[in-house]
Amino acid sequence: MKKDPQHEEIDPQIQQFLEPLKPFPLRDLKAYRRGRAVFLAEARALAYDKSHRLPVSTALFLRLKKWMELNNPIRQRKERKPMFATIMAIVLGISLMMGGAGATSYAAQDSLPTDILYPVKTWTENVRLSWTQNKDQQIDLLLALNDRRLDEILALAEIRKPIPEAVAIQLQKQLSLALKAASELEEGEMVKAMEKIQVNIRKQDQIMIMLHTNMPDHADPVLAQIRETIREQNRLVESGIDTPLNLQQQLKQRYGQELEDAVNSQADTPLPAGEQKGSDSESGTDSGPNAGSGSETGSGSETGSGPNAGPGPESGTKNEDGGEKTQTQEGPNYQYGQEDPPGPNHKSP
Amino acid sequence: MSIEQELLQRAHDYEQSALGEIYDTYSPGIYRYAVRLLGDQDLAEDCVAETFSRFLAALKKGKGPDRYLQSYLYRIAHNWITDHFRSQPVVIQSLDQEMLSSDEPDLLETVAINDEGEIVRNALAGLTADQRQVILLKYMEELSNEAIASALGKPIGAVKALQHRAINSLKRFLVKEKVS
Repeated sequence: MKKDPQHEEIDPQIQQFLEPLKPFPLRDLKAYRRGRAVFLAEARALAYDKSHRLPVSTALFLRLKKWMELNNPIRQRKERKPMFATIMAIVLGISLMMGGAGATSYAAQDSLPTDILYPVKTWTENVRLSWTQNKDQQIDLLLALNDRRLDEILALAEIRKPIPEAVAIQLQKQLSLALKAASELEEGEMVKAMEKIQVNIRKQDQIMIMLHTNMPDHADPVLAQIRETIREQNRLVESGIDTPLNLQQQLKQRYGQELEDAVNSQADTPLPAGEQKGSDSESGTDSGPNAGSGSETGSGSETGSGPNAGPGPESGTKNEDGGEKTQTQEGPNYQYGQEDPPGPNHKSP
Repeated sequence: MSIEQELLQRAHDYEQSALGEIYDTYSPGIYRYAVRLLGDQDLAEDCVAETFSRFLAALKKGKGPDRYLQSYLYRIAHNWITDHFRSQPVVIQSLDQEMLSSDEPDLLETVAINDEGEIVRNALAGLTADQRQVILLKYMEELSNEAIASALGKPIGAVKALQHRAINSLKRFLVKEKVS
């Protein structure tokens, strides 16, 4: 860089004034070598990354999935599926004695709402939810299940299949249950839980926006419904963060009766053929949000019964005749939403 | 292609020898600039480390300078120092004796210089960040207006205006000092 050979515009008075700044402490040699080494090491790392960088997939949904994996705090937990391994081990053990049901359950985990094994998947989710007593863990699990619904939506959109409305309803219920669980915490904990839910909701909203933007020709009214659900829940969450007590009242007014019904009502939904368990009553509990979920587990293999059973903006899902939910069913094999929460007589698994 | 441009091109490829040469050539000037402004060796080293780290970050994004690398590095250092001053109150520190080179022949004279140095830093603290940088790059580093303009990312006319205002402020300070 060019220095100023003629010292243009140098004021001699100022130059003299600044003279004391000329001497400066010599640089520490060790600090210099350390700084240099760190700089070069950082450059080596960058060079390595550059030469080993994996190409970004051109497939939208692969990118979305990767983004979800990278940005989802729940997925970033070391234990991605709380207790899942334990539960599945138990189920597998029992089913080995009972003829392979556990294997079916395991195989069902990647099923989509239009698949035959999908009810088994939702049934296992209900089992997990029913066994989760701690409110924070319930919230985490509900958000994880919510992400599963989103995965299913993305997968269906990718193969250009219509998205069952029941999935949208399920997504809404899971969020509602999470909100309900959060509203039952102490105020300080409630706000933290709300913020956690909000992070999830915002991420889902972004995914839905990206989905809509990148696939305008695949406009699905259910997707619009899902987006609206997400935004509504976000409004509730924001309100909960600002005024927790108001949210508790709101939720009680909105979902209180339905929740009570869901908790107290009984259901006896059989498992799918071949997946019968010893007792239909092993759903368990009428313990608040658990019941929403857990109550279906013993019985409800046919739906995401846990969260369905819960409170909720179940459009048309009130129990009408001792437990038949009237949720929309989509797809020939899809029996989503037919379970009902078993009542107090049901035993926990 | 100038030597500097060739060096930069090799730096974009993360060539270790080129990056080492860049560090060896420019880090002393950045350190000197930082320690004069901050009056703290450790902080000056932090400034140097962060300056070169940001330089690498720019290379990673495919950005960074294609020429006037020294000015570019000074700009990063200037921004870091400005942020540092904003985040905490400006504390003018005098140089401790042990911070000085052991080659200094006359320690008493050095102490006197230290006190005067503190006065100078106090005066510089009264300038804006851009004015301070112009004065130091002009009077301490002896850079041309063109180089200073590149370092600040401003036109040469703006640099001259900044210098003019800075000199006036310093002169007012000097008058106050004489009166007091």
